[in-house]
Amino acid sequence: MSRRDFVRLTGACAATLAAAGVAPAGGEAGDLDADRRGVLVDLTVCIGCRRCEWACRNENNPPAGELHECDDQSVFRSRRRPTSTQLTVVNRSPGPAGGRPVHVKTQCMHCEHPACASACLVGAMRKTPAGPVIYDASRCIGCRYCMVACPFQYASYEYDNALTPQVKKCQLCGNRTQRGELPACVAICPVEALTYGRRDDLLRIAHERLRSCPDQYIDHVYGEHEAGGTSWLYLSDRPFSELGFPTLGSSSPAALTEAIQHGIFKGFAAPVMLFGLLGAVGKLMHAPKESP
Amino acid sequence: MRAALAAIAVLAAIGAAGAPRSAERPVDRGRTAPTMASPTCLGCHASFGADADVPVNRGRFAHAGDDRVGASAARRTGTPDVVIIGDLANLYGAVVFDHRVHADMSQIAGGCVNCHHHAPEGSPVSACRECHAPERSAGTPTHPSLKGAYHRQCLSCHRDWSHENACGFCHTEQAATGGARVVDASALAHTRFPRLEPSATYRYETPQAPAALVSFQHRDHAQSFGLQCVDCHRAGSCAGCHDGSQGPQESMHRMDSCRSCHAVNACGFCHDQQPRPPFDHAVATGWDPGPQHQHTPCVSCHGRVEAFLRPSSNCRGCHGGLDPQTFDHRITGVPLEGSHAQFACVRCHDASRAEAPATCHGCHADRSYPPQTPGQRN
Ligand code: SF4
Repeated sequence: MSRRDFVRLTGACAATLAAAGVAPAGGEAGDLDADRRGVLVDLTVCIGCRRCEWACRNENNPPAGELHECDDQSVFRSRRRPTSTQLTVVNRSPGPAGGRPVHVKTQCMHCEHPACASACLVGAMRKTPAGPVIYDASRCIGCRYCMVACPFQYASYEYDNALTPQVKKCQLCGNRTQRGELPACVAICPVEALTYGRRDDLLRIAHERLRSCPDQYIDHVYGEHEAGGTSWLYLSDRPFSELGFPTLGSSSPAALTEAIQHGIFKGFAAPVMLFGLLGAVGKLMHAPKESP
Repeated sequence: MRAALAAIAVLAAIGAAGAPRSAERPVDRGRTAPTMASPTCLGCHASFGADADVPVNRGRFAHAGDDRVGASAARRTGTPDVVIIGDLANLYGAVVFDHRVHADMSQIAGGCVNCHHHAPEGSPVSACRECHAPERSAGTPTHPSLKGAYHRQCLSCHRDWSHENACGFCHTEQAATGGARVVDASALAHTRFPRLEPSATYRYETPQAPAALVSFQHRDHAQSFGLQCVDCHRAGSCAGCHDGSQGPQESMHRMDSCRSCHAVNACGFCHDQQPRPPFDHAVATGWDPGPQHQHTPCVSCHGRVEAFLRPSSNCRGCHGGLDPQTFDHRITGVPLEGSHAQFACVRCHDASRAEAPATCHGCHADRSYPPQTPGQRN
């Protein structure tokens, strides 16, 4: 191979790679149903009664214990994260002197473009078109990459289960919603701080509230854009950063890595090209020398 | 165990299970209307016709005028005393809601519209269930169900002043038998709700040197002078009175609150160099009201609070309407028995001199009142 041939070949490879599109893919919104579901949380309404914690336990990890045990406010002394037996927890942020504290219910946010699903090697975490991000224990190999990838750190692991540990997180009560029921936490909430519905409707409702009661809220729907958008959306009267919400950009953490990976491997063009090139080089190198 | 829990879960999910029964059952505790003169309900509540019992919200000052009836006018309007909110009970028992107490208190902080939020001034007051359906509706996700509405409404104030959100504050946890325990709200009143204990006297340091001190006799105003809370406290909030962690209501520190009744220009009427003791009728006027008149509101003898009239020194000036045949002497603390019960008043009392104590000398040379009282003293 002459030097000119070599340059020509590498140039062609680069052009093919570029054409394959390494530009960020920006997730896969096209795969999601237009009426995918979500939950809107109005933090100005939540009273911190923790009945949602009880209902969640009752649904996912019974027995849930006595209802009045939820009245124990001492749990608010430290900030809690969901655990493998308590998939949703309510935290309290003290209010200004004499003012109301704010209670924040936390659970898997069911991202529109979930980093956990992206990080999973075996497809055990999956974003369903209807909204929920669900976990398939039969595929899981226990690597816990999903937990590391989650920008909210809301997934947890059954460390105390030596033989068949699973990753645990809110599944948005798939069993219940298929029966036409509300997710357990939404159903029990005595003040209806939680609204379950189409994500598009929830966003419309949220913006309507912000418009009609501008004094009552800060002008921000958390989850509309955070981490590329989440199924759980929050309204608040205090800046979210003061309430323990991570400050996130509007693109999914999975977007860049996926764009590079998927771009390179799209249509398997890059590997074919690379190995083609290497093969050609190898062949040329080992071609019998022409006798002068 | 699992099955029972599942059943509870289903109940929880259904939330407002069951067809609506009589959702809010008014219970008349049979309180009597106060005896003070007051305008008739129809004067304000035009809709209280023969066939209409719908109160009309006339706004926050409706019951707070000079007539001093305060919210007590509500007591004659057909509004319920106690409402048992039990329609939606499932995990918890019914709530005994003392509507009258809340109606009275609401006059301090905005009026009926505080809770009946879609009853702006002049419009009929509607019950919660008229707008809020028992079931949560997917069609109107922004509109709370009846249960959500109740909870939001009550807790929006309660959690502010009590810093509590425990369900047991209002509910009894549902008994295993399913029957809701109905509790007499009056029995709960001071067990669940902190008793309001305002100081007898509030002392204010003012910049009005040298007479910088104002001693405000709260107990006298509230108990003896016959004032209702709403007469002074008008722009309050629930937390303003009930939240022990807050000081006295800020708005009450201003002089105009006093001047709305005391139209006097002499600073010394309120300002002094020394703290002033509570009002003592005997010291201030020379007439000791004694045990008989100790709890008589000032207005009973002196007329309107703003301009106290000097009452006649003749007992009949006040007690002219007393019928000796029907008068129950026991209310004076001196029950009469035997022949004493038959006497005309003047046999013991000098009706022309109110300050004169009853005498025994007309019949008993060796006895005198009060050391020796006829009959048994209570
Ligand atoms: S049940 Fe509702 S009000 Fe109670 S803590 Fe959960 S979200 Fe807040």
